[in-house]
Amino acid sequence: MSSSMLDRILAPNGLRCYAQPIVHICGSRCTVTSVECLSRGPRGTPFESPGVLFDYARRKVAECDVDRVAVATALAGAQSLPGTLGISVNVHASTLGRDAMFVDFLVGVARQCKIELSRLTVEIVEHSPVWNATKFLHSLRLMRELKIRIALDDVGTGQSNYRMILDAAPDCFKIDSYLVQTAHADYKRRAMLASILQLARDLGGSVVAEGVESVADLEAVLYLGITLIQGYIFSRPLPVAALPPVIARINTLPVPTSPRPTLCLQKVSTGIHAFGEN
Amino acid sequence: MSQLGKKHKAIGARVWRLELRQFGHHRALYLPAMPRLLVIDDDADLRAAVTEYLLSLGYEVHQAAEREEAEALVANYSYSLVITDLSLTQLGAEGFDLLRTISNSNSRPKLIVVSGHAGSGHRELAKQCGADAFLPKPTPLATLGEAVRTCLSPQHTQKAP
Repeated sequence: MSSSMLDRILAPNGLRCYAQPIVHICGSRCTVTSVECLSRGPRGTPFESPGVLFDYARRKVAECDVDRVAVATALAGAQSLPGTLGISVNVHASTLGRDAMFVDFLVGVARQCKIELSRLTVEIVEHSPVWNATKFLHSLRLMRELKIRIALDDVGTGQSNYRMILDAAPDCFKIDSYLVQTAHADYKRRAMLASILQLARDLGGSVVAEGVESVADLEAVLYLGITLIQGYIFSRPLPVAALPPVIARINTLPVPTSPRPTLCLQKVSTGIHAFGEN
Repeated sequence: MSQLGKKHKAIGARVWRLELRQFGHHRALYLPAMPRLLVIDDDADLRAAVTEYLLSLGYEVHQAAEREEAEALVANYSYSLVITDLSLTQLGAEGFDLLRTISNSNSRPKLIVVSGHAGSGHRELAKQCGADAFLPKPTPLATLGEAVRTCLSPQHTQKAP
């Protein structure tokens, strides 16, 4: 009898770990500060795509099991990375709300892989509005006590809303690529980015712009003051073993000292400086 | 971009871009991608046989053994046609709900139901749930192939709502 797709995913080597650099741009210097670990499903199946993989996991109500395997796979892969790099792993809010032992599991795996907890960031992803808030907040409290950072993924879309921002009090806001892409040509997107950046600053969090793919969008987010960048412009997600030379290359990349004024400045009604379209 | 490439882009068809570098010229040839099909059946052997047959006909084929798998695939991929068993053991009475989910998905694929329950009641209900064709089990692969070709033919596509 053949095993189900869930069995294949949960089996040893069912998932593979890819990672994408998160780059800090300061002046003319690029520095890879951390990597986000991303899961890929069984090779040669449509479930290689993380979108399909986790959609399936959620439909099977198996987020907890899949998150555990994904985290274990990610940390096992990331242990070969330099000790100075932060490591981000994605975890469903529903996992933190349902699986009372998840934090203990995460700590155990990190210790087994000899990864310091202070290097870890748990990126909270959520697709369902229903979760046990009490258990969820308890899990967050435990992680904070252990110096594990909390990030909120996909800010600006889905369930990563104001309530989640209040409840999770994230150390890092990861802005969804939907708001970032084409920001150079869309003052409404730039207004939202500026608003989220201000909110994050007021709440003491950092901001990462996800899905930066073009120089124009990079310039736009840098102009707004977002200096942590993730996206194809630097590197697509790669197997962890392929990452060190890519990181070394990014760390030597030149960056314009100031965003090139390819677009003129204008004020929008909110008073936010923004690029114009002409 | 070639005229053919423009045409395919204009009608929203998926195309494979084939780069050709010959005699110093840089040309691109656009070929229409083969339709992507989804085969849903909890019988692994049957699923494998159907998949292999359809692959041999040149189609791109995904397969699913259970409802959640099928739903995740239909939600994230665009299919031209779905072939599903109605009597998946894991589906039970919810089999018809799956038919509705598939036929109402964004890509609105053609739907062929293959079932051992070939009574007129099942056949009629499957049709109401969006099935374009109903084949009794066991069905020869050649018959299934013909049904796939018919469902994907332009005439059949134009007749669909």
